[in-house]
Amino acid sequence: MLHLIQKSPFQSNCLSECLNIAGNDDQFLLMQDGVYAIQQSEFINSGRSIFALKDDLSARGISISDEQKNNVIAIDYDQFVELTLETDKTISWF
Amino acid sequence: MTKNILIIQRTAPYGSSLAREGIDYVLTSAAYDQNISLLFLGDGVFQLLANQNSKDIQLKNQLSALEVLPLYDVENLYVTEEDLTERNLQAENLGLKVNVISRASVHPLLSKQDHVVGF
Repeated sequence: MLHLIQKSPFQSNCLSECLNIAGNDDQFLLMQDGVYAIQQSEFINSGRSIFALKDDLSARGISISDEQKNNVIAIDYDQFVELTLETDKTISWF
Repeated sequence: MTKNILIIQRTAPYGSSLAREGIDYVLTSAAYDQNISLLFLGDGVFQLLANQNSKDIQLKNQLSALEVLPLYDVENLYVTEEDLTERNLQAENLGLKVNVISRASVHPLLSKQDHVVGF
């Protein structure tokens, strides 16, 4: 299951509500204001499978630090499409 | 082709139009013979509160809209026990009969669906 996180976790409860019910093997794609979740280390270091959209990161001046590189993978739109094709189900959180 | 579709309602009823749009989606899908379930998550449980009277804020009553769902064969409504408890609510406070499940049971419920649509 792929969760599309579209709101900042500092303003919205999208991410926390998603984590309440997410399974251990689920994947997370941070997009739009969801990329601000990069700043929430508890989530980023949780060992979950996390991706973030490159264009949304750079637009907001958010970068993945060297320490975070093992935990978050920046992807482009083509890779986003591939992710949605590989997963059985995609759920948007906004 | 009939699919299993679960709609997640995550917002309280009158602060935005999302709750209403979710119901419109449910009714439309049900009219096309889809197998619909509804999960009220987080503040979405407030849509189910009994005694809503939205006349004076000039909005349609959300509970009344939900009450017609059985006519469309939409009978699988779910809330989580944890969301109710966090909001100091019990199933008796709700105006509709719903299945109260644990948060841990939500993921298996999602896994059974063909599509999950959030509002």
